[in-house]
Amino acid sequence: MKRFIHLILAAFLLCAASLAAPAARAQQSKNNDGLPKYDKANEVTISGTIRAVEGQPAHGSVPGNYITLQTVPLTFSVHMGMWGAAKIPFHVGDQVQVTGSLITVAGKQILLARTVTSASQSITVRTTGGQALRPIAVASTSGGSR
Amino acid sequence: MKKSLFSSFIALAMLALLTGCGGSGGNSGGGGSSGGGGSATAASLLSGQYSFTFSGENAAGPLSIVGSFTADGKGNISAGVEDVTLVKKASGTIGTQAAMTLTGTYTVGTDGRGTMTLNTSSDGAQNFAFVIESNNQGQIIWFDNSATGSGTFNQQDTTAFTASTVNGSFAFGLNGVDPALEAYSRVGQFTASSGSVSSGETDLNNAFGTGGVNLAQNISGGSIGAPNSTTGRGTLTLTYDTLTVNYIYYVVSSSTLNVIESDTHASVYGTATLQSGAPYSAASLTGNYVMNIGGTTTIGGLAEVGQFTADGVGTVSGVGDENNAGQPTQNYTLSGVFASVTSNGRGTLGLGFPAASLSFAFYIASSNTVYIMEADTDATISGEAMAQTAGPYTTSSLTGGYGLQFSGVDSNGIEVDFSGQATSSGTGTLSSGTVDTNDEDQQSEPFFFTGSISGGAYTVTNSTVGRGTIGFNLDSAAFGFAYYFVSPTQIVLIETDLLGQTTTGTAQIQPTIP
Repeated sequence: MKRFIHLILAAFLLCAASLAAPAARAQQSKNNDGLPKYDKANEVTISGTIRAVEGQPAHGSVPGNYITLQTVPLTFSVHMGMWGAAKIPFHVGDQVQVTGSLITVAGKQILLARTVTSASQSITVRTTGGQALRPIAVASTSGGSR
Repeated sequence: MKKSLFSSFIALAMLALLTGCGGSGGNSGGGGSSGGGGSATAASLLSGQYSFTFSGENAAGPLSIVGSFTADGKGNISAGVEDVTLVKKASGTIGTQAAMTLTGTYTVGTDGRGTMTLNTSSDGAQNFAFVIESNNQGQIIWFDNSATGSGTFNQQDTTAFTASTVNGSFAFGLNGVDPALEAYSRVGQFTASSGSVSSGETDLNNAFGTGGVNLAQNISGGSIGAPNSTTGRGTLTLTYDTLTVNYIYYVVSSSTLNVIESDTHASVYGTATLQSGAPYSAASLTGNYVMNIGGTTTIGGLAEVGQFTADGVGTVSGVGDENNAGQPTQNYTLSGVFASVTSNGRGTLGLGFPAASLSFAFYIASSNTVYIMEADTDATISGEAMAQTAGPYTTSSLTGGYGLQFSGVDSNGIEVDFSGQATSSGTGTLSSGTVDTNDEDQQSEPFFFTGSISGGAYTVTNSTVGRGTIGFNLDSAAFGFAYYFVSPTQIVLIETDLLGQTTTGTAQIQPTIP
């Protein structure tokens, strides 16, 4: 039953995203690195199931780290910024909700994730302005909390 | 940078001829060939008063430190003071600690590598590994499990600890983050006299933050206090339009100040350089420069290192190497235009990179130094261009012992910092080398360790522009860099291997070590 509700929710969110995305694409302006800008005014939230956690794509694609998100019926490439596969705390099969900005590069949609949330945890991949954030790494808190 | 990841790339090693001394060597650190204990004689290389800058991150968030310490040449830090700012991720606020006093100890090995512990008056111990790069300069990295980061120390000219040092016109470049962790850079120029700042101009890039991009702002006033006669520390206030920002500076020399913001508006630090050669014009930008710029974009880290020739009229041309989120593009043709160089040294510059055309604002500090910052809303890229001593450069130009340091992020987005020493044969090989590493991306503690360089080799690919490539094995990984000669004694490095890292750094020929 819970899974069914998730699917319904995912479908609803996907519809919302699909409605929002064309408007975002129409206004898509280019970064000076050739990529569309992170559009915080037209963020979308999409829920789905992780199908893959991947590292660097082939040279020529948008560099970075990705997860593949399966919704109903689409599959999204979710750009995880500086969060490498080893630091992404989610696994294949996890249900997650991704909030971010949809861009189109070479005819392919990429979702630039800002936050990724599951039932048990949430990570912040980008700032509210869309700048990539480093994962938290330092284990010890000695050396000053200030 | 996981060791396991490195292992997967070993087959792609540029030069896999191991000399038998590779691999990590525990976390002894900084002892040089003396095996960790240091050399009392070598310790004399670190003698006198030094100002240092540092940026990194601990569990709470990004931190910046600027300060001064006095080394007695025998292994003791007899005195010091430092100012710290820390961005607290959890609360989105900035904490500051002003003028913490320091004492400590240090060791220096026979290869110029060393370790240093600074015991602060109110924030515990800070442990560093360092390498002496020249008679008056070295590079440091944090060297314990509590933080990451890297920095530089420079010997202070204590005769410049006078009010007259802070009279004149200074160009500056400052970098860091705001409380929301958005990149925050500022370049500019101000004129000070008798404790007052009379005029100036500045450009701000906080593209992803609330500050936005604010170009050619007026510096309407401010103040600068005389430096402390013992530490060289002083206060600086600059008013940008209606925003007043407080800084602390440390005198390095009669022409250089290390600067850190001391309020809670942003956590930034950098340098200010006494301007020479004014009034400026387009003709002031003439000759060969090596640029080193970088920052964080929407997709990850971006670094550009290259060499260009400015014609003094409005055109630049050269070559460059790019590392975009771990993907290198090597030896690309660099071209651009510059314009609007005003008498205070401000100008605008457009540069074409492999996948990008970036707009910059710049300020000329001297014939040797130009501060550069991206001047659009797409990202916050900044750095410097340094005058290049004319070549030609050959393999024999790299001969002797070099202190080296490189820092950045690995393929998982985790900061990695390296400092060490390598000896170049002058014939295309590195005969030896040892590197101290702080890598929080290890599977288990300790995150800081020492390893040996093996299989090191280098080439000069373009003797005219002074570009080459260098590779070595370290900790079971094959590192590769492009490099550019700034002078016969200094090179700038950018990582171009397949490790997915984005790092840049420098190497500088070392003095004779006793």
